[in-house]
Amino acid sequence: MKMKLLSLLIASACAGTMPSAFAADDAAILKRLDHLEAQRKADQAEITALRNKVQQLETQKPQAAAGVSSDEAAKLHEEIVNVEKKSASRVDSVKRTLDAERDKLKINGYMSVYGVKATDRALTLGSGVDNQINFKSDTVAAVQFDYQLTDRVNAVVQLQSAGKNNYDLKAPWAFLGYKLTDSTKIRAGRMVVPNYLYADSIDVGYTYPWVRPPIEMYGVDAIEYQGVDVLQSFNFGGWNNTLQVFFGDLGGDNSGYSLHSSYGTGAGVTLNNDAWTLRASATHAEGLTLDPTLAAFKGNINYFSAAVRYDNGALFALVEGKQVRVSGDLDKLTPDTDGFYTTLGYQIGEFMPYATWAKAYSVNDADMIGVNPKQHVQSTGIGLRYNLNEKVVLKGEATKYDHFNGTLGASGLAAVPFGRLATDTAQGLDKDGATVMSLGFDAIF
Amino acid sequence: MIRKLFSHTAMITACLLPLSALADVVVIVNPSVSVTATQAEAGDFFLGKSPTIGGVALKAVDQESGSASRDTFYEKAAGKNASQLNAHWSRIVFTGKGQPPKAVGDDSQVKEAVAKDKTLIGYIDSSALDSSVKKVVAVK
Repeated sequence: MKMKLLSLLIASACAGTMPSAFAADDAAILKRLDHLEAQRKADQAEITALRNKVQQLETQKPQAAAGVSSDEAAKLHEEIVNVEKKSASRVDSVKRTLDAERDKLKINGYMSVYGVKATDRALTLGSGVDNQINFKSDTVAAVQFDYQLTDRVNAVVQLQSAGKNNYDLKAPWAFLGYKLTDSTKIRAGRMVVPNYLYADSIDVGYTYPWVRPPIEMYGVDAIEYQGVDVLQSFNFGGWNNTLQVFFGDLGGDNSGYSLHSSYGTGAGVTLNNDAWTLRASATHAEGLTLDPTLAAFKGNINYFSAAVRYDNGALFALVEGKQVRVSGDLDKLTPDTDGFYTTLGYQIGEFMPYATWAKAYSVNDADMIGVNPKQHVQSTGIGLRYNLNEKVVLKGEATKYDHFNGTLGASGLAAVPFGRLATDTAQGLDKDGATVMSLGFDAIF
Repeated sequence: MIRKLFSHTAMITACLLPLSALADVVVIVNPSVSVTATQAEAGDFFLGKSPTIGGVALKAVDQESGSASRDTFYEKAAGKNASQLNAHWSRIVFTGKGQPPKAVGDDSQVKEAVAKDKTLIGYIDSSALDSSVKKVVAVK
């Protein structure tokens, strides 16, 4: 409870920071502009006065004794030039300040729109995909504000509207970041649990080859938390590495469920050397419940994952696997599961054809009465990613799910906390399976 | 027929060759800065993978997208085309971990900025190199 209050405070502090930061800077800019305008008027008055004086002297010149005024006029001209220079340099300085202000605020966004359809109505994916064409399951739009408050402190707010959440606006990211050193950063606020390689960027379709990461690995939605994390980068012998540790209160509304926890914590290490990326992580969620309907089933989940990626710009090869272990009453709803996938792709000009093979299965039985809790699903997919331009990619993908072995596949219910895109029921699909086809685009701006 | 095809291929290759040979980019710093780095280290630094370059904390200045030097630099130092570069940065930006280096323009604007500011590191076409800046490494 205390923790919830604390995280709420952090979140509201973060949300509150943005407008006030803008307001302060807007006021400062306006004040500076007013000041500049006053200075410009003063300079202009000075220039006019000097001009008048020159004119006066020049008209007097014929009557005056020869040689008197030419020196004076030259001096006055010099003065005019000086005042004009001063004025120009002031304009430059204000322009620089305005540029710096503009650089402090970064606005970015991403968007995906996909039409998705399954070949058999017995195969339903999360968010209502079946044999009717559906635009809801993978359509998402988000905008992010990143404001640099000082050299070390920044505030980030990301607002997202996704079809899978009925287009309700939510803020998966809202935090304050503090750069302790060049290689250490601390963040506090609302963030996304990085339990798998693509878990914290699962909605940014532009960043990966597929239409959506394989559901056998990414069967659940992004899990948000309120808390803190530390990002520590460290290098050795050509390897650039990052250690990420987080602690907080898991929670959020997704796909009709409200997730709560006592706490969640985890660590992930990512090693990168040129084309190679290696990642391993462990995440623990304590006292998880799904409100309102499944609140009675409380328990803990441990997530372990490992990934190896090779991407040299032409060849893309990736293997990732997970172990999900459930304890407490939650294991009545969902069994322990293992899952993994491998993807191979090759960049040819602006085209990247790719193929994926994935599998997930339960390793024990959950004992929920009346439902076969076992999970088993396997899929083979092929797709094509095409870079329309630097900001927009088109993707088409066909994935065949089968090997349900008489189970639910990897159902939304069983894949606690909430299924993103999962085979819900596999009745009658055992023999032939079903194919899901997706066509659409991802964009960044 | 085959000979004709050959000669066509040779002609096309001959046309393409000078284009790729032209594009040679050098990483530059202010003449008062001393830093050594390999091409790969420069690539890692500009991709935000490493917080320092050659042990020195500098600030990367990029060129605007669409510049030939930019395409060459990231293609050769990091093995990424423009879309792959955007994908790389999007993963960092949308997980709130950072922002790409600021883009200031083209070869001449980057050179001017680096010549004025000793905290900056940039890259320009080798033909634009002069004594106002110092070469760190040639990206080939």
